[in-house]
Amino acid sequence: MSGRFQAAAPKAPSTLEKITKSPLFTVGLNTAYFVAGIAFIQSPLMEMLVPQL
Amino acid sequence: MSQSSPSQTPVALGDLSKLNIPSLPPVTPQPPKPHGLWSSNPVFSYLNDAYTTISEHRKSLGLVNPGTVENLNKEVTRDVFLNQYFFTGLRADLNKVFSFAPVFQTSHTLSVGSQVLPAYAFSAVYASDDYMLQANMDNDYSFSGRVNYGWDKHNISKLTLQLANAQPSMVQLEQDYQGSDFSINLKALNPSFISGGFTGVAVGSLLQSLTPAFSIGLETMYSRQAMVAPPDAAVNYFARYNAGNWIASAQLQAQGALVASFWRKVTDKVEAGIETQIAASVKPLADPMMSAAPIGYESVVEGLTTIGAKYEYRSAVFRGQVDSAGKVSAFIEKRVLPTISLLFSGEIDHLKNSSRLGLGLQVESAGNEQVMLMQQGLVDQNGNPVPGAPQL
Amino acid sequence: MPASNTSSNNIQFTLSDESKERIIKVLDYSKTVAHYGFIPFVLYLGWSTSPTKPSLFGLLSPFPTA
Repeated sequence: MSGRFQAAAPKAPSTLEKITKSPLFTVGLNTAYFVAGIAFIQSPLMEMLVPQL
Repeated sequence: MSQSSPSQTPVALGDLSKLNIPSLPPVTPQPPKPHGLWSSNPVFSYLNDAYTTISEHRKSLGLVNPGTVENLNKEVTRDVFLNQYFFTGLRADLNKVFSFAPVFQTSHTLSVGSQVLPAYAFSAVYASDDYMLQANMDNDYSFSGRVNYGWDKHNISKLTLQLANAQPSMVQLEQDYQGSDFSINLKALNPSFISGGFTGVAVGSLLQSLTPAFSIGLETMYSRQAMVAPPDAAVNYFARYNAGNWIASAQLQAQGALVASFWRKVTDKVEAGIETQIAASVKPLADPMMSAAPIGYESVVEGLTTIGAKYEYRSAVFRGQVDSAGKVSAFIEKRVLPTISLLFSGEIDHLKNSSRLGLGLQVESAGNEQVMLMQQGLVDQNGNPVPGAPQL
Repeated sequence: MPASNTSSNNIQFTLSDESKERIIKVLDYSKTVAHYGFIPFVLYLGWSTSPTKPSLFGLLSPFPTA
């Protein structure tokens, strides 16, 4: 109600910020990382990273 | 053509029991059960039969011990990831071995420029078949000790002590039971009955195999810091799937955290692992204008995914990992002589623009001549010359 | 029932202040013993079972003694 603080009020977050700040985004992102990581580890790419000694 | 087809196994004529002759149902009577309260009583004999049936059925499932809850994702977090190997600054470990059976060795650790490691620490380890004793003291006279005693191959009792001047001491009593297809662990941290009731932390955990590869478990925790304070309880749930060359595990913690991990043995020298942690927590919301008391609380969900690999070479071990917070770290252990290894650990935090570095030296020395020859690969455990080694 | 409950509690848990103090004193003493006596105990155990009884200097020095 006090007008003094209005200047300091943070501006409304943009849509992108809103999405990236949401808990569901964190959960989804890390789940995606996990699935992608497993796919990578299980894929022939991982076998190609084995040094041929 | 009187011979039967070759696919049938030939049976010696004398071995009648192996011939497939339809026979009468077994005529030999069941052996009489020993007469006693535990077996003749109809109720107990029913229970005994039920118990025997269940245990036979369990045996027929071919279950194996699932390991312990503590080691649920050991392959990822302790074997592949370098978290527990990482150090900063300079360090030197001077280990001295006196004997191998029983194991007896001392160790002097010197360290410079680390926030965690003490400047100097001395430790001694003694381990025989049943006993394991370990003691450690640093330059601040902080002491930690550990005694493990194995009663048989299923039962291990553990005692851990941590004593430091001007700091609360810690005692932990632990009992491990590893059954044929399950593991039970009971722990008590600083248990005390002096103030009129139980204070301390009590933890009980169970991991049970359901199929040869799949196991589930749970852990309950009860803690009470003081009689005046209200007690706290929590339950954590675990699942683990071990398919031989890969292992997946998941744990759901009562505080609102979910940890999932995956490990694969790519070859016998290369392992890879990934772990994802998602934790929900409540954080105080600070007022940016007057940063005193929090004006409210907000729930925060934090996630961290780490992927890493471990490479074993003939005389070196390399561990590397990358996480979703922009941290890249590596740990290298290189054996330059049979008794001397060099350690390097480094970490770059790309988001915070910071880095940490550690350099170490590990020296294995011997307390007597025989151990010295063994360390140099000249003789084996029994004192016999190793074939191919240079003559003494 | 409540009466019997409290009496059983009395037997199990309530200690007089005197015995409480004694227990705390004994615990403190055993802590000190463990703090400074455990390393010598481990060293003695190792020394007594190792085939070549090393000298005290050999036990404590980090350098090879052979």
